[in-house]
Amino acid sequence: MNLWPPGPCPPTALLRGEGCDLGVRLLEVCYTQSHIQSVVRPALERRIAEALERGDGPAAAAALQGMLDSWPVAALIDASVKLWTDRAAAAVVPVLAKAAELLCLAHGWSKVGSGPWPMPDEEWITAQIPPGVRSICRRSDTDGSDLLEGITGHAVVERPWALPAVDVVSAEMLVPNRGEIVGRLVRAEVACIELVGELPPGPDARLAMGEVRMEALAQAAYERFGVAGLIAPRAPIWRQLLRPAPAGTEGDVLHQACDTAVIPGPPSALIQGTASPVGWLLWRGPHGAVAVQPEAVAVLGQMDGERTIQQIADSMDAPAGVVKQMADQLVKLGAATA
Amino acid sequence: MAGLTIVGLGPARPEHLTREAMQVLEGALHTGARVYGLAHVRELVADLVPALQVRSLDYLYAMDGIPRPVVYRDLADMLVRRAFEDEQDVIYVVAGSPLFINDAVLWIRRTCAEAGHPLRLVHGMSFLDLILDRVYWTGHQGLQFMSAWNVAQDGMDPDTRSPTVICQLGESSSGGDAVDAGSSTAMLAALRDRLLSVYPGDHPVIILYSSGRPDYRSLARQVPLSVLADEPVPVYSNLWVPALEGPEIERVLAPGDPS
Repeated sequence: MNLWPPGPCPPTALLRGEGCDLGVRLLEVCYTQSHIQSVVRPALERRIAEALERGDGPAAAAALQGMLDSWPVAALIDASVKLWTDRAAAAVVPVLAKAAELLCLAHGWSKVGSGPWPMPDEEWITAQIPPGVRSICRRSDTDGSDLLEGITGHAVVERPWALPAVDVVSAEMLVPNRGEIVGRLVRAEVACIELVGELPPGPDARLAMGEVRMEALAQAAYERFGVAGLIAPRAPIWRQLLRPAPAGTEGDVLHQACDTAVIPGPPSALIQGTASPVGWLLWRGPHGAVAVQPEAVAVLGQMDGERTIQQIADSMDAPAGVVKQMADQLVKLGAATA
Repeated sequence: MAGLTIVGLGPARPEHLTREAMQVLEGALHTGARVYGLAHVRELVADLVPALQVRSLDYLYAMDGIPRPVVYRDLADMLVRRAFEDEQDVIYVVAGSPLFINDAVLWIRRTCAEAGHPLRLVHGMSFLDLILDRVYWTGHQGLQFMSAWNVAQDGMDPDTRSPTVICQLGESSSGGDAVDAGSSTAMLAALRDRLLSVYPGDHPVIILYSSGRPDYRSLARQVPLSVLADEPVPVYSNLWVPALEGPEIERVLAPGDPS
């Protein structure tokens, strides 16, 4: 039986390997709503707490952002995996990529190759491998097969994916060879370039890279998503998939229309060390988290679809006018509805 | 066939496009030419020839800290290289006339001439044609054409014996960086102060601008020079400054198109 590595990106149905394909196993086991909600999200919550305890603001901010993103990712991931495996749909690449980031953050996994795709740890990999594996199939130079070889001791055989060509370009050679490099892109001899090293300072390098990104359809997607960007060069970015939640319906009696959390934040304040409790409105849909005052979360928690705003204000011992104002805003944000 | 064509789209309205320009754009669909343009140009082309893909040059305007002359030179070199080294059929689409206030076109023309490369220029109506419909220019005493930057920052005084068109009122650098309308008063104040050194405060000047999308009507308002900076102007605004001793008609605001 063949063993296929986790990388270089989630395989489509056409690209899945026969035998044990760890890329497919990742899709089946980890890129799922249930895994994101029941494993990744609690792990990120723990990471926030641990980072706050040791005073590591940037780590807390990354974990918090990941936790907030886990709501739309969980809502979109199952359909996205199907669309990717069935027909390599470009529109879902950012969902898979965001899920990959969350998996790395939550499990502490490293990345494989270019892009955000995870290289699971040895324990996870070993648990997936059935008896009878004889060889490891390498799909690309950066798919993690070398690490598999180290873990299993099996020999590696070459089974490269047929992908558009990519020129590997040393960053310092971009400007001197700009004409030749872009010429190959224009003539479609290569789909994009992989820049190795730091872009030199100064306008010439920035202008050259600007031309590369303008002429190479796959360049931006490759830079963001690695090989998945070559397969789906028109992949959008994550932010383009999110939209505001639809406003709720006004009424005397409201109920909660989203999930909530109160956590120190926002991420920028965690980095600066000035965090304070922030209320978060979180939707099980393609909507970004919205930060609100913790009091708004408390008001939302009282909306049970039975009591009026006046009754909620009385029970909270809060001015009815203020609670009404908050309720109106929450309806507009799509967090509450009649 | 490899080559480089620069196409002027005119000031904005599709009906101002020349037939030659339209033929080039429609032809590009069949020849597979690589067409390049900035955002506002792409919008106009999308209305005219929806199936034509125009490669975005917007990244050049997003590069903070690189002087505009460097950017325009790079753009010109890139398009010439694309046409004559990469041997592509290249069409560069610009707003207005290619010959008005377009440094990239200047560099392309110069580079092609020096290298002996063939360059096709498809003229477009300039913004000047459009804005002159709100004044009565006789031509009897000539016409001067300057940018606001020329007058306000470069210290170039108009000759008061001729009328003057001053363009790019709402822009903030010699490279033509556009600012939002609300920020235009700083440029207007500098311009006013410089002009007041050669014209009296009650000299009647006419601010010429456009209503913008979709109909691009010519709009204008006449003010004494002394209050030129009292209100902001739209980004693409121009100023008509009549001669001091010129024909009376050149001081008059012409009515707009009733349609």
